[in-house]
Amino acid sequence: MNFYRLSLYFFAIQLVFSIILLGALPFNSNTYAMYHTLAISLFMLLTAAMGIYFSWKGQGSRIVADAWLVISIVTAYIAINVSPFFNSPMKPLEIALTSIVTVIWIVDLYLAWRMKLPILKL
Amino acid sequence: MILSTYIGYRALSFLSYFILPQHVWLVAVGLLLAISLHGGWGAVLTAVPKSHMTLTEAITDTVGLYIAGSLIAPDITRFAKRAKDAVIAWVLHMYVFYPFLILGAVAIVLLTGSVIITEDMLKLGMGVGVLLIIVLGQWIINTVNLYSGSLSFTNAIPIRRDISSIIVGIIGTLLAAYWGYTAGASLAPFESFISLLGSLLPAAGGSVFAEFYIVRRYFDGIKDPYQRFKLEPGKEYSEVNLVGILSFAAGALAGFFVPGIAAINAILVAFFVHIILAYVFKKAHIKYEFGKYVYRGGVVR
Repeated sequence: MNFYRLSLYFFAIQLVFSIILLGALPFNSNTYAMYHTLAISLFMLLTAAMGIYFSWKGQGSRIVADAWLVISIVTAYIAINVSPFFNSPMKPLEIALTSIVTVIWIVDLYLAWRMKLPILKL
Repeated sequence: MILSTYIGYRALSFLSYFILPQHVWLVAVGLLLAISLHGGWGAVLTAVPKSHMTLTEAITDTVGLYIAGSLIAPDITRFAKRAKDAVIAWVLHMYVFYPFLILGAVAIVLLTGSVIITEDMLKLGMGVGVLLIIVLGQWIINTVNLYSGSLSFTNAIPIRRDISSIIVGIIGTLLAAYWGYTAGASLAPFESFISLLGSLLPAAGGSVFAEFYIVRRYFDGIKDPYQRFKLEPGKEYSEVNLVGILSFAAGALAGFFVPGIAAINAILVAFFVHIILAYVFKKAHIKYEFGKYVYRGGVVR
């Protein structure tokens, strides 16, 4: 499948996930966890919007840069959110969605590498 | 870290792009949590430090913490496409990111009395975050430092930069292991080293300022700032500047022995001694630049 089309789908998935996380915020019993998730949701929303634009325009290097940025921040979010301090009913959902986002961008970067796009030269 | 430095600027660029956003996120969340759990910003503003130091000691230590970074900044900023980009990057870093990290760390220390932020994060159960901060933070910092060290080593001994990164990396690792083994968890050797840097290195800045803004401009009559230190392929340059070394030594001695703010003393003394010595040597027609270095062109990566 075309790399740009696939990236577009991935960004669309990320967009949906960020909206789900935003919608689940009122069900979060932990204030600190809620603000932390709000921050990552808005970040995912913004980068998904940027990524959709880049995919639409066929800008491969910007998609790669966006993917690395998402992986960088989302892994930081997961690393903090696994703390028992952030326990809340929404935690499994938050961790699951952000983990899927991490995985899809690793897959996307692998595909970009297979397509000979320079994934380490940012 | 040695491998990253061996690869060179590309690895540095990638690491910065990947690690820094993650680092900022981890530190920012940790800091905000710690502050909100210990009484908020109001508590920070009314907090009283448990131990005190004089203002001159504080300035010397703060300069010492940063002066080496300032001196090696051109090793990285030389890759900027335009001079303006280097200035923008430096200003953003200096006035936005660095104060954010320093003021955040100060707030934590005032509130908790713990001088190690990672300890406070560990109390919140952020073990994985702390691990990432320590591993990735050390990775990027040491890679930049080793990169600059390998460039300096290449200037002193003409070998390939990637080979010098391995040599300097092994020496640095052995020295760090020795200090780590002898000092254990104590920060005392690090604090002494910071004070040493704060007294010693600002003198180098004073010498460079004097050479660039006064000697080259007024004594040598080079008005265009881009021409004052310009390297041209095939052209010969001197390797040793005696006035630079003497003024640096004078500034460093002033930093150590003259009472007051060591960093300012060192810069001012080195600056004026450099100008005076250069003027005297030039008037007396005494050559003070020695050695022969032929610039071969290209950028060392």
